[in-house]
Amino acid sequence: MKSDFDLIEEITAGDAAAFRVLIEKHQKHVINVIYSMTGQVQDAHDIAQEVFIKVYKNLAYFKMKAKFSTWIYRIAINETYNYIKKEKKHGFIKESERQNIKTFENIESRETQELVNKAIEKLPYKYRVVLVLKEIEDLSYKQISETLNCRIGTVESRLFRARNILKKTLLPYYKEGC
Amino acid sequence: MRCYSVKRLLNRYVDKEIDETTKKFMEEHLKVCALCKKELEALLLMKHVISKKEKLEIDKNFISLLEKRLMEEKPDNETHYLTEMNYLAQRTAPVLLTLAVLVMIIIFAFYNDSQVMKDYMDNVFISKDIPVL
Ligand SMILES: [Zn+2]
Repeated sequence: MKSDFDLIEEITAGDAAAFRVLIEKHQKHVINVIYSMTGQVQDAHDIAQEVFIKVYKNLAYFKMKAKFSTWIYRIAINETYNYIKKEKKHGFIKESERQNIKTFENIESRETQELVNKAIEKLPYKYRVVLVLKEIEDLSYKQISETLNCRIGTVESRLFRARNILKKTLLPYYKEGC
Repeated sequence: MRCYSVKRLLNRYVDKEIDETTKKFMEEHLKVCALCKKELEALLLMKHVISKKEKLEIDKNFISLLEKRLMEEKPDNETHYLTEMNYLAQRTAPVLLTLAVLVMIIIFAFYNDSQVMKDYMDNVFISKDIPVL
């Protein structure tokens, strides 16, 4: 499998097929991150389209010393943020569309999923981003700090807060100790 | 290690962002402190619940739709690699080159022609006034 760097060089040299390979490699992560933060299936696809168009247009400015996945996550997070801001401004926060989604899980866990989704969507954006990158994408603290361009300590404290909020929603009967 | 420090490090612990020595100290404390252990279990349970989160199935037309959009986009800078404009430029380049060569040949021929004429006229002129040696 070709590396992202090789693919980018081929694309900038005019190879359309290389761009397709690059999208195939990253689309799942990009769409899932956006979906985890918005809860909207169609919008997640639409925002992801914008992300890849931005990637395509700005490939020449991509610095090869950075990781491509970090760069694309950053664009996805910014685009999602713009989307959420716009939705709030227009005053329509859509209800989750999840009723019609096919999932890999069985029906019994549907309720739990619904609870998890709603809890994540309610988190303040800066906590939500860190939580999704950690729990859904399984990035390290260092990778998250590079993606968000912040200190590792900031990642840690946001994750701590995000989990504390989630704990109250998801595990309401779990009494805290100490 | 005290409860306060252990609690503070539990997130790092479950995320495996901790060095071996600290991990050892924490585990020693967790063995004897039921409260901290309960905290840890809550954190692990939450991670487990979140890991059950559905994975979205991606629209099969996602890439073809994207490629279509990229083709339709108007090129606004030179970073468009696959736009129609670029495609057109690539296709018409050989034709333009041939045309350019043809034009050069015609100009060259014309220039040569006029040179012949000039030489002829010069000869006539010379032959008229200066005796040929
Ligand atoms: Zn303790």
